[in-house]
Amino acid sequence: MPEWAIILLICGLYLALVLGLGVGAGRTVSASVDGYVAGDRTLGVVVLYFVLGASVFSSFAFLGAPGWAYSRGAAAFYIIAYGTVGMVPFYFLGPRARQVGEAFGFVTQAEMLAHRYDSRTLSVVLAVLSVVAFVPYLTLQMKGAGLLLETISAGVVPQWLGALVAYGVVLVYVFASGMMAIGWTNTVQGLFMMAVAWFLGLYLPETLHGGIQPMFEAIAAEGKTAMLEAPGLAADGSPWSWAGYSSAVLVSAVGFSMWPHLFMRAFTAKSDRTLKLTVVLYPTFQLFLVPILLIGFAGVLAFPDVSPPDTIVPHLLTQIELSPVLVGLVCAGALAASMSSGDAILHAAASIGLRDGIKPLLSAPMSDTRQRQWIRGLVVATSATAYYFAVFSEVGIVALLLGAYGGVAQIFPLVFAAFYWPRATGPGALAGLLAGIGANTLFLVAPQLRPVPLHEGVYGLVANVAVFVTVSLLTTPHAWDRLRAYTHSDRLSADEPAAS
Amino acid sequence: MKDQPNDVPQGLVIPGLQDDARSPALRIFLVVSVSSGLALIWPVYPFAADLQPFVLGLPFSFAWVVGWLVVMFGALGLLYRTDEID
Repeated sequence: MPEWAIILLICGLYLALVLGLGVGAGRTVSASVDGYVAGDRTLGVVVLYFVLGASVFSSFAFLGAPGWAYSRGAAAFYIIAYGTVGMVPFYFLGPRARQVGEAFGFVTQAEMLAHRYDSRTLSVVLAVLSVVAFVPYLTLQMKGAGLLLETISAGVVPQWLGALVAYGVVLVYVFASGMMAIGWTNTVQGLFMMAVAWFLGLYLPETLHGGIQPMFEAIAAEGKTAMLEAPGLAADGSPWSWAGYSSAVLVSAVGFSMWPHLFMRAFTAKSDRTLKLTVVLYPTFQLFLVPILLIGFAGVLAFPDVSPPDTIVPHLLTQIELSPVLVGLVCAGALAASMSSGDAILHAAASIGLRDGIKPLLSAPMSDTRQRQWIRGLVVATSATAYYFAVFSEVGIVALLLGAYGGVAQIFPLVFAAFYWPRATGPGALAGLLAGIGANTLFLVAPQLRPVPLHEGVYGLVANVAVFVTVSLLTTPHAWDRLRAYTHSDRLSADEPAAS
Repeated sequence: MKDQPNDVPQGLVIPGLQDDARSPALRIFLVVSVSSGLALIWPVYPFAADLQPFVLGLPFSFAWVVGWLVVMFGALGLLYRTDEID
């Protein structure tokens, strides 16, 4: 049997395992929207830990992050830096969201904000923002999976087919089982990708340079010290500015817990304790970025001039002498990283699209069964759209995704004020969000207009907070009865039903 | 329902900081979090941005970031232990 066949066989076994697990997992929850979107609010620490971890570490973890370390050196430390503080707000905001979610029946972030700020328009704006961020995100995951299978099979499996097979599996289990499929498959995928990352991250420096410190000393001895000193290099190879590095860390940290597919996991947790413990344990998942970056550094001297840098991991795998069984396992681990984010995004995009985008625009109420049918329909439609962009379109997807990071950070002031600033009003929230997204987009498409070279998200946040506070103070506050559920969770009263 | 003007507080309402039993642990945690955030960006990180000395095989610039990740893990763990059981 040729080597590529063994590798593909292992990837195939992995896909079959995930498919079986995902489809089987749905049997444990009720056939309702709560069951499909929020797993009946029953998730424990272990599953939640892997859902939060694996959803965040996408194919970027196995392709993009090592690519950053490989081409931009210390600049890649920013990925660890923002995660260090980025999850902390969720320790406080998550349990609050879970409590009001349980009391009022929310399953998405926008539903909660629309109720707190008494604004359907806000819900629709957030739904549009989420979908604009999610489709390119999902497209990149599909491209990543396809690229990996193509490289590793030496072209036998073309990119369109690899993406189709991997995401066909995702589509089937998300369609069938919703949240529970994501929970259980992400647990397996998370364990798998962590094992693979630690193995490669320790093995490659050892085999190529005789250890981790010798590897870094060799890079420094080659005159590439600038690469190992923070803040590393910019995309063009010149030293990155401290302003650029610091503001990128800041914006990413602020936006980190606000990603709608991550935030809505608060509604799946069994209890506040569960959610808090998950956040406490989260840094142990982050640690897996250390070996990931070591993989990238291992390629610096051994394989210079790999282009684009994102392909350094598949390149390393095909160049070093490794048994095909191991390469197959590594490949499956990288697929796991792509699919475990792709499934969460797909599920969130469809759930948000219906609950926050379509439902508020309809005048008649929708039955639970009808809602599930709609969400499933949107799962198929979203996959098809992302697949179209992944395979047939040449639109600059990466730029869209980079813009989305600054956009998602604009949700933070709204969520923070929802719980801690009773004076915040609906018109203020909507105006602030729009001002934030506007400023972010303006400085993204016209970077030459920036007064100082800071991340565009910083300008967005400044505009957002200024407009949010001003408009809130100028408009009539909401009824204290509505707000008390948000500011004082111990006095939570469910007597006012959520608009549903 | 139309919301009516009423006695809504003007400033931030943070129940944990107003609770005397909870407040000290929370304040310490917030100080550690903010320090850790600042340590990872300008103007603090430039002082730790060098290659030397190596820590556990990693350049100092790398180990510094990983070190703060470990500090935050510890801080979150301690906060969780002092948190009331709901």
